[in-house]
Amino acid sequence: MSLSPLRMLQVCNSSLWQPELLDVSFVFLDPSFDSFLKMADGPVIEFTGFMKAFRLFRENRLSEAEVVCTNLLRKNPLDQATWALKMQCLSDSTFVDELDNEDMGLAETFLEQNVIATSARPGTSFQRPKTTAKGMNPIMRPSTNAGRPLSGVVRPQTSFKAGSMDQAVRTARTAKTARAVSSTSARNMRLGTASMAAGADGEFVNLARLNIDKYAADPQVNRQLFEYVFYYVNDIRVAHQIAGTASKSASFEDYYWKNQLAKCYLRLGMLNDAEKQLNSSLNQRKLIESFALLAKVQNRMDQPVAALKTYAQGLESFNEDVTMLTGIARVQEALGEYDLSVDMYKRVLDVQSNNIEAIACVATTHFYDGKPEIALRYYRRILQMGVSSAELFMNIGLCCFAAQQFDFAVSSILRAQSTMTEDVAADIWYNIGQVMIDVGELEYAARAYSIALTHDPDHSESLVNLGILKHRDGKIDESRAMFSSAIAKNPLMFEGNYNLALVCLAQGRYHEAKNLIGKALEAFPDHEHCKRMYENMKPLYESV
Amino acid sequence: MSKPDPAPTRKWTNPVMMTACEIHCPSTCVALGPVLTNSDSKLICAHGGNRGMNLRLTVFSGLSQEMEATLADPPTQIMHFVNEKSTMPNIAVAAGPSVLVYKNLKPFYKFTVATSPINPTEEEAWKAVALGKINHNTLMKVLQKVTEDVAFSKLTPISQTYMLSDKEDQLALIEKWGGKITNCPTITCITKILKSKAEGLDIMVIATEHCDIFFLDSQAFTTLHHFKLPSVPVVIRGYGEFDVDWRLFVQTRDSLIYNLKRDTTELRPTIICQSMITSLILLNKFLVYTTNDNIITFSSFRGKKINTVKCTEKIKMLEPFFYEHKQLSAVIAVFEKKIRMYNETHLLDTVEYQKPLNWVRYGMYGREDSTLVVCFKDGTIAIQIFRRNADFRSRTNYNEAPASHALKLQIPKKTKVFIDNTEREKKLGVKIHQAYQKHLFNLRFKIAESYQTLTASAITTVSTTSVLPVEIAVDINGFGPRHRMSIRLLSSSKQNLYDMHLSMISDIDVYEFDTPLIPISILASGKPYTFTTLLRCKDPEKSATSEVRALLVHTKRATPIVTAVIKMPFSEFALE
Repeated sequence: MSLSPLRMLQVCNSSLWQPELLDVSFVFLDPSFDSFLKMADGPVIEFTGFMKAFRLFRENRLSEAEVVCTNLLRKNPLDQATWALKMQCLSDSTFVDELDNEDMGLAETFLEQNVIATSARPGTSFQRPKTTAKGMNPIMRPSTNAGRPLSGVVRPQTSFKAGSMDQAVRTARTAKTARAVSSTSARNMRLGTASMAAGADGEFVNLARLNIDKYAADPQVNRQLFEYVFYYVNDIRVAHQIAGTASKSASFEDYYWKNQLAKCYLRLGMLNDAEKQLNSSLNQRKLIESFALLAKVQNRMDQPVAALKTYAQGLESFNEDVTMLTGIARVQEALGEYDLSVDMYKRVLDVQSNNIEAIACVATTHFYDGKPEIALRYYRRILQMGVSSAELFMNIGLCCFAAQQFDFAVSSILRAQSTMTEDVAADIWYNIGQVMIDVGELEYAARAYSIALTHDPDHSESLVNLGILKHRDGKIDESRAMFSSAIAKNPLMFEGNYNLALVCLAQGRYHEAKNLIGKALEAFPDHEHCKRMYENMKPLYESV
Repeated sequence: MSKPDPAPTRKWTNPVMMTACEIHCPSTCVALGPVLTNSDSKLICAHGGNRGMNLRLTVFSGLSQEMEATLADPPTQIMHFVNEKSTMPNIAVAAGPSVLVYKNLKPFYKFTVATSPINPTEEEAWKAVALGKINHNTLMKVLQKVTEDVAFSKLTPISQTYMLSDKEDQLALIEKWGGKITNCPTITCITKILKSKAEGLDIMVIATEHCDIFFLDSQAFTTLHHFKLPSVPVVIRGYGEFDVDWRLFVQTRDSLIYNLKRDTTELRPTIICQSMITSLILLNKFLVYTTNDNIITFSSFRGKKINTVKCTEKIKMLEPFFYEHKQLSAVIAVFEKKIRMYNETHLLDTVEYQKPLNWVRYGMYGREDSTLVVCFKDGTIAIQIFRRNADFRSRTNYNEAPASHALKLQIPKKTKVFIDNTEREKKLGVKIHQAYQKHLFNLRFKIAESYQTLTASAITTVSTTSVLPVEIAVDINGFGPRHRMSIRLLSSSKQNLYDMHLSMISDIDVYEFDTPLIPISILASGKPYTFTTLLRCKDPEKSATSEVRALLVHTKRATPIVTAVIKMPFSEFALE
């Protein structure tokens, strides 16, 4: 039986979700005035009107700024500056860095029209990583629910296109694994709709009645309008219209609008158009964002080699840039080239030694490479930087445990358990179960897995391991049920398929076993035991 | 195309079998040497026969038996030696306390070892029993009494035999030896040492049960030298020339090896072996011996261990091998069905046989000076000659392991982290252990506590009560706003369960169920049941999700039997 391996928890990289620095085109205030005010010992000056709103906006007190703007607009609905500032406030409150927004819906995954090579050579596609790459071994390094090897940080990621659309639709949907139907559907919509109901006046800008051509051509407000439509309203079609008009009025010489057009095309799934816009933008001016977006488009087109090339070009213009280096590292990691990926992350750390993503990914790779002591040092570094979360303590505990520093191991795990939040509770209890198995306390391990399952009934690893423990107790039917529900929750899982195949084989259900082994081999093509079982079963079929 | 010939790799010629010879004797009772002056070397065997019958001395020449003589006593060891240049060579047969010398298979001389004084009580008792004053039982009692004072081995050989025999044999012994009880010690082994190269005559060396070693002039049978050892010698090997310088290696019954020289006065063993020595030979300047734990040891004359060979099976005996033309030397180790040749560093050759072996003897046979005589357990003999073109250039290490064993383990280098950690463990070992045990206890307590809470609140997916072991699994299908919920129940209780309900609970503002309560009339043991209900997300635009609980409840129980908590996925918009 194949036990699911230890799962390092993915550290939540808070820096990923921080909004970009805003590009405010009109500056009303001399910044030194601010410090002058503070230095003066006189009475505190109260700002009023637009100035107050703008200061609040500069201090990132977006909702307060918005309230002030709303009041001003009630008095004078035609105040364009206030109107633009309110749009800016609203779009900033729902801002998502488009570079990191990689959610792909089922429709994008399976109804893909941009596939260039349907059967790519190994190593040139995310769907077919090199089989010789060391990373593609789910026994050594567990995979995420999306079928990608576990990485060091939580990050939105593409999934394997496993099986058919039919199969994907049939798979039981859960809160954690379910994919939206398409990227323009409800899941992305919610970013825009979240605060819409709150506005007493109804929708702030009625897009249907807005003279788009007029405002889009106005360089004083068109950026705010675009961002409002793109990020807050999430109406990509209108956003595209604004960007197109603005680009035309700037006589196709503004790289900003080309990038925005590319973002729209990317959201709409028109990858070739997005690539064209970005290339044109790059000819005009080389920007980090443009390189990163172009590489992202190429990744979406499943052309990792081209993406790597784009990143390399970006590095030529922007020497040792963190975004480019991180991009290369992520692509290499997804291709299973961990050595190259870790080298890149180490380069990132040379430039920016407090990059949590890089530290966490290097640590995770070291851990699964059998060097827990070194991984421990990296995780401790994150701890020193002031990040303290249950995930981190759990990882430190697991590293200590694997490095046989037992005194710290269990205390760190206890600390993780006492500080954990609900979203990681299942993983933490699962890892406690793993530690209990290693200690030899099988009874406690089974309990820990059961607790993990109450926190997350879809935790397939816990189901598999609990199934193995049941099987060991001779409760074959129960273990069968557990394995099959683990497969139902996560069909890409290697251990569930393989273990159930073993049980089927022992019970003489050869047909079922053969199918399951086929699935297990899809998840882990190099598993020697599976291959041998498959070969052994072949004659049974051929002789019938 | 030249065909690769496997023959040169073989060092011995194909064996020539001598099947009708019926040789059943130990390896000590075999000698190679001429029987008549200047004749070919013959194979001489002394048969111990069976219960005093069929005692023979046989001589083989070529592939047939040539001569035969009858022996009077069962032989212990035979030896070929020369005591006069001009006349025929002799065969010495050690039997009981005597050495019988044969010339041309005719009895020539009998040398008996001098008697030692007999214990007076023992002697008197024997005299008495011969005269019929006491019967055999009284003799037994007297002898037993004597053994309380002196060691059993200090009695005369007759008394020792008497005490170990049954009544009939005891009577026979009394009749044969009664009045003329002597104390001639049995000869345990004999060997020879060259007197000098110039004379080419041999000095005979004999060892007795009474721990004596005598050097005898082979013509006059006068004692030239004498040693008294603390224990009984069983194997002696001579080296050198008696007139110039010599060594005598003596292996005693208690697995000690002594190195004796002319001027040795203080007897101290050079090799003390923990396990029993089964065979000892000399090879050039080495002593080679085997022990019963299947180890062959090469050691210097002074007793320094040079090398050891660990064998996988029992070694029956060792035989020295020396090929003069090429100055090749080796030791032949005899196993159950094969022989192996070793030198002090390498395994040189292996020869396999079809039948189990008894002994081998290497030396000159006929006119071939490097012949191996192999005797099988069934009494047949094979004769092989060392090939003239053979050599020991192809050699392998002792106990050659398969190639996979030679793969080096990749042991990682000791990192600084590792060393630091080890230092810490050395210093604070006890504290680490205590901390670990304490935390482990706490962790187990935490698990037990959490599990207990689960059991009490029955929010587990697996029922924890032993009375109603039911398992629940829930799958959600569909993108929304309509989802399909399939609930699978599996009961593993012994009896069928009746009168239960499946109740679905959720935030009524978010979800609406088609059938919020499903009656379950029966749950048969071991059979999976699947129930389905549709649920609708009321307002997908709110994109709120909440938990849905499926409870299995029984009318007569206050708490649910099992609960499944499902975190619902985000719902899509309706298509219209």
